[in-house]
Amino acid sequence: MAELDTPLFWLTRKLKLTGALEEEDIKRLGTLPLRTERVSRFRELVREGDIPDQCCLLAAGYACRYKESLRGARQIVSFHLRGDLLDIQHLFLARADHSLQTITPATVAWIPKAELLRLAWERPNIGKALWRDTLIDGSIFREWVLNVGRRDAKTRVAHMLCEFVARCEAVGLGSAESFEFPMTQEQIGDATGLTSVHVNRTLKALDGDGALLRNRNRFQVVNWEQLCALAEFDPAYLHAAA
Amino acid sequence: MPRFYMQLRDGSEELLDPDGLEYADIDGLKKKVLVAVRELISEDVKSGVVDLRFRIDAENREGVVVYTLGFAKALDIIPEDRAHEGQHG
Repeated sequence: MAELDTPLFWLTRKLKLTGALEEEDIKRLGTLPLRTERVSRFRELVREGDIPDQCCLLAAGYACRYKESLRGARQIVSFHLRGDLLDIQHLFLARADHSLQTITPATVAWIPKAELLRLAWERPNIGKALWRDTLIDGSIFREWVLNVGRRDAKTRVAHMLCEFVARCEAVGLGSAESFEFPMTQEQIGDATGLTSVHVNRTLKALDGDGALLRNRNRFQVVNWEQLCALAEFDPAYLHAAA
Repeated sequence: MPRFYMQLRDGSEELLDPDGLEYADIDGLKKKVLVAVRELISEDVKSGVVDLRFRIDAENREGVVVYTLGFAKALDIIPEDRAHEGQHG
C-alpha cells in the first residue's frame, strides 16, 4: 500500500473504491510516473480548448470544473476534493471541453496520459475502475442538472451542501458536525445558478430553519436528517465511491 | 480593482456580505446590484410574497455606501387597470 496521504495513496484509494484491484494492479499503479506539484488558489489546471497530454489527480485542496457562456457567465459544473481524478476524459477526448481550476491552494499529481492509458489496457481491473469513475462523474452531473433546473434556491443550496458533506466524510475531511466550506458565496452561486446575495440570503434561511450553523466558512450541520430532507438529498447517485 | 460588498437591508434587519466582489467600474457594480435585486424578487414571486421594503446597499471596504437600489426601483409594475398601449394596444 502506498504511503499515507501521497498522490499515489489517493489514486490507489480512489480506484479501489471504484473497482476491485488485485495486488499486481496496485503494484503497477506504483510504477506510474506521477509528477507532484503544489499550486496556488485559482490556478487554471486545464483551460477549455487545451489539448492535455496528462491527467490530473487532486491530492490535497479543492478544485472545480466550470464552463463559461459566450457572455462570460460562469457555471461551475462540479466540485472536487482530494482523491478525485479531475480529467480522465482526456484519455479519449483530445480537446478539453471545459476548464479546471483550484479554489484553494492544492497539491496535484500529473499523470502522463499515455502511461495511464497503457496501464488501463494492460490491467483491465484498472481500466474498469477508471471507466466506473467517469460513469459516477456522469451520475453526479445528472444530479446537478436536476438541482439547477428543478429545485428552488433553498433546496438547491442545501443539496449542494449535503453532497459536499457526504463527499468530505468519504475522504476523511471532517463530518457534518463541523466542516470547512472552502467556496466563497460567489462560487456557491456559480455552482447553483444564483447571485452571491441570493446565496447569502439562502444560507441565512437554512440557518434560520435550524438545519445549519455557519461561522464564516466553517459550517456545522445541526440536524443532518433535517438538512437532507430539506435538500431532497439521497446519496445513492454518488454510488458510494465519489 | 476596488472591492464592494452588497448589503441586504430593510428598515430593521440587515444581511451582510462576507466576501465582497471586485468590480472594474461603478457601472459594472450597478448592473450586478440590479441583477441581484431582480433575482431576489423573482424568487419571492415564486414563493408568493414580495417584500419591497428591502434594498441593496453597495459598500466599499470602508463601509461607505456608494450605491443603493431599493427593490421597488428595480422593476416596473404595470397596474391591471392601465389601458393597453403601444404594441399591445
